[in-house]
Order: sequence, then C-alpha cells, then structure tokens
Amino acid sequence: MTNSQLHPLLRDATTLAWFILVGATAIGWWLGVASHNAQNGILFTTVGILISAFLKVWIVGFQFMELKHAPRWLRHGFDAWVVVMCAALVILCIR
Amino acid sequence: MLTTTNDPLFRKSMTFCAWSGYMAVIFYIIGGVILGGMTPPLLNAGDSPDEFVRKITENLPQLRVASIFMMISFALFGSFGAGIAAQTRRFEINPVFSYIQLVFSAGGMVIALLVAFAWALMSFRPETYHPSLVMMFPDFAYFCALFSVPLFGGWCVMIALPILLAEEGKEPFPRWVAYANLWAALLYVPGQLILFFKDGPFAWHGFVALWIPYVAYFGWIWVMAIAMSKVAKSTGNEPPPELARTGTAQ
Amino acid sequence: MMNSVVETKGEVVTSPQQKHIPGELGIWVFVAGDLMVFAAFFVVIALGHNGEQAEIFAQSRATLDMWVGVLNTFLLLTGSWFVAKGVEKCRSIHSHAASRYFSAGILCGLLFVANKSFEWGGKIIVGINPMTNDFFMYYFVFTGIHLLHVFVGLGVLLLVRNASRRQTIGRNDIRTIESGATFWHLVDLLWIVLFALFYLL
Repeated sequence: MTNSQLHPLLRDATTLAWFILVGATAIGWWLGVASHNAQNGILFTTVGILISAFLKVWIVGFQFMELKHAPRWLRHGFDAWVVVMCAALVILCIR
Repeated sequence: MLTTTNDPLFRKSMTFCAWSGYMAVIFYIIGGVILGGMTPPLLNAGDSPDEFVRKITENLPQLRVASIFMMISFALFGSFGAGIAAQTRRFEINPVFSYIQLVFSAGGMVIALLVAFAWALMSFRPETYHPSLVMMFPDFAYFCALFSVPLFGGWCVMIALPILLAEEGKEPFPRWVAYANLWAALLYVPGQLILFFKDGPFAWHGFVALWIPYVAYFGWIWVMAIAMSKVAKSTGNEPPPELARTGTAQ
Repeated sequence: MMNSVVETKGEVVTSPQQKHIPGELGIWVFVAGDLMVFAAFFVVIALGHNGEQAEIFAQSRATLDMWVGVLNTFLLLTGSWFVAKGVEKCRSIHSHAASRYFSAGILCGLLFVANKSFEWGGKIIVGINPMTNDFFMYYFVFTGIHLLHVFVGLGVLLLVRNASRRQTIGRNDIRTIESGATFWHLVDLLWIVLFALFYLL
C-alpha cells in the first residue's frame, strides 16, 4: 500500500537513479568551483569530488547496467573495481 | 559427415596452425624482447640521429640475430591466420568472412615482415648510411607495427563479426572470443598516436603507444592459438549437420 | 486510471526475475578490459595532479570550462536514462515506443559530440593542443579515446534500435539490446571519472 502512495517517479528506480546522478553532478560541480577558488579545505573538496564521482559510477553500474539483477560474482567484481579505483585515486591526489 | 573427430588431417592441420601462433609468440620473445631491443625499446623517438647510430652500433650482433628470429615469428602469422580462417570457413555456406580474414592475415604477415626487414637493414651498415637514414629504419619498423591499427585491428574485427552475426549454435568460435577480439582491436588504437609525438607515453617508445598494443597483440595470438587447439582436440565449436562437409570436393 | 495501473506494475514487469547476466558474458569481458585500461589512464592523470607538474596541471585545468564538462556529463547521464528506459520497454511492450527511447539516447550522444567539438575547437583556435603541455596531452588523448568510444557507442545504439523495431523480439534481440545498452552505459561511466579528474579537481 505504501508503495502505491509514493510519487510515480520515486517508484521507478531508473528515474530515481537519474535524479541522484544529476544531483551528485551538481555537488561535484560545486566542489570543483570551491576547490579552484579555495586556499584551504582542498583535501575536503578533492576527496568529495572523487567520492561523488565513484558513487555516480556505482549507481550507473548497479541500476543502469542492471548489475543489481546480475550474479553476485559479477556485481562484486564491479564493486571491487569501484572501491579500489576510488581509494587509489584519493590516495594519489591527496599525498 | 565430416566432423573434427572424423577428420584426422584437419586435426593435425589445426594443431599446426595453433602451434604457428605459439611459436610466433616465443620467437618474438627471443627476437624482439630479449635480443632485439624492440620491446623494451632500445631506441628513443626523441633521440638525435647520432644517438641512434651509437646505440645500434653498440648492439650490432644481437640486433642482427634478433632480426632473423623476428622474421621467423612474423612469417608464422600466415599459417596462424589461415587456421582461424579455415575454422570460420567451416561455418559458412557461401564463404565471405573466411576470404576477408585471409586477406587481412596476408596483409598482417607482410606488414610484420617489413618490420623485420627494417630491423635487419638498420643493423646492416649503420656506419655507411647517413645517420638520419639509420634513424628512419626503426621509425619505419615501429610505424609498420603500430600505425597499422586499421589492418591489425581490422583483422580482429573480421574475426569477431562472423561470430557475432552467426545464428545461435553456428558460431565458428565461442562468442566471448568475438568480444576478446574487439577488445584487442581497441587496445591497438593508441598505436595510431605515434605520428603526433616524439616523446612521452604516446611516442613509439612510449608506455601507452608501444606496450599496450604489443602486449595486446601477442596476447591475442596466444588466445586465438588456444581457441584453435581446442578445435583440433574436438572441444571447439562444430558446425551443425547441415553445414558439415561431406568429404567430396567442393 | 490505466496509467496508474501500469505504473504500479511497472517495476515488477520490466525487470528480469532471476539472477541474469545483462546481455551476455562476452560484453562484460569487454567492459572489464576497458575498465582496466582506463584505470591505468586514471592513475596516470592522478599522478600528474600532485607530481612535479602540479602547478602546470592546476593552471591548465583552470582554463577548462567547467560548465561544458557539466553539460557533457548531463547529456550522457540523460542518454543513459533513455537507453535504460528503452531496454525496460523492450521487455514489457513491443511497439515503436521502445525504439524512440534509443533514438533519444542517440540524440544525446550526438549533442555530446557537438559540444566536445565546440570545446576542442575553442581550445585549438587559441593555440592549445596536445603538444602544449602534459596536462593537455593527457586531456586530448584520453578524452579522444573516450570520444572514439562514443562514436562506437552511437553505432551500437543504432544496432540496438534496429533490433528493438522488429515485429517479434526474440531472445537474441534482447541479448543484442542489453549488450549494446551495457556498452553505452560504460561510455557514460568512463566520462564521469574523466570529468572529475580533468575538470573538477
């Protein structure tokens, strides 16, 4: 019953994902502007930019690429790539 | 009806073609990698011609022997490629892609032989040629090897297409082989960049433009050789009864 | 009234029930390979961010127009939405409506290409090219290789659209459509990271 009370767009996982992706892009944009203008807090913006980027990547994989319906090994392989890449780039960019 | 199990000559032939591939890789490792300084590169696109002459003169014996090993390796591309075409042919009623593959195999073999020729000429008489001519030989060799993406990448596409376009159950090789070929073709693409850079990762000695295509190419040979070995052992794809040859001349 | 009935049933009808490899194994072999290669590219860019060229990287990055990158990201995200929707429609309804989603995805891709050409053109006219410095070398080459993926992706979407227009969509067509869609989403995914590394940092 609660499901049918949700706005139609929120019940549609694909569209919900798109809204989140666009929102994350906006956040990334804001962080990007901030990092170019700021003198300090660069660490925060750098980490924020990379994490928001890989969150978007994960959503594209999980929802758009339908990994949420895929066998575990495929989904976890993708998850692993996302986590390792994000961590590696964060480490390289903040050292 | 001739399937692989009933056709011992075919089994031996495909084994030969697969081994052409394995030996091509092994001979390249001896010639191009260990002795010849092709990968890792002895030479540098950004060096002066005199530097080229110096390095080549200092390594003359290895470079000469290497050229011979490379020549053997690259000649084997012919039988390797024809084997792939032969398996593709078994699944065509009216041959098209098997012909296309033969053309691309021949092209690939000839262009590769030019690489070996250039490497040999480079070490023939570097003290007599003008230094910039000596420099042109490795330039020529690397351009033949790397700047030929439409040829070598195209060859991969011509292998992938008949697999992907085939009807279910009538593919010459498993479908993942097609995707592996397309990925190999993509990995050759950075080679096309060597025209625009004389230094850095995209020059002909650079990490991206040299290593990625070379490793992808010889890895691709090994994978396709394994695919042919499987066919030879009757564990590869077999054409369905309506396509199988009857043993009489076609 | 009819619409709301379809909506509530939408989620159940349009997604596959059991665990299922989208498309086929082969396309994921390709995706995995591409992710590995681009991982190397990403690392190379990040190494430049803090290395001896940090100043050059920071200055060069500042000359890129962030809003152009944001627009490109938006175009690919929206294109992916259209393609994902198109795949869902192919499973539930077999009509030309599904193929229109793929057409919309293709349009988004074409707009991306146009935007990128406009951006590159603007840079080249003022003398900035791959030879200018290391940042721009990586920028042009890596976004160029990505652009190649976009072109291939557009071709793939045309194939997907063709498959979706068939009178009866069989198992092989679904496989083609899903595999093609997967490749398109890969193109989107790779751009998301490139955008963060080149424009935002």
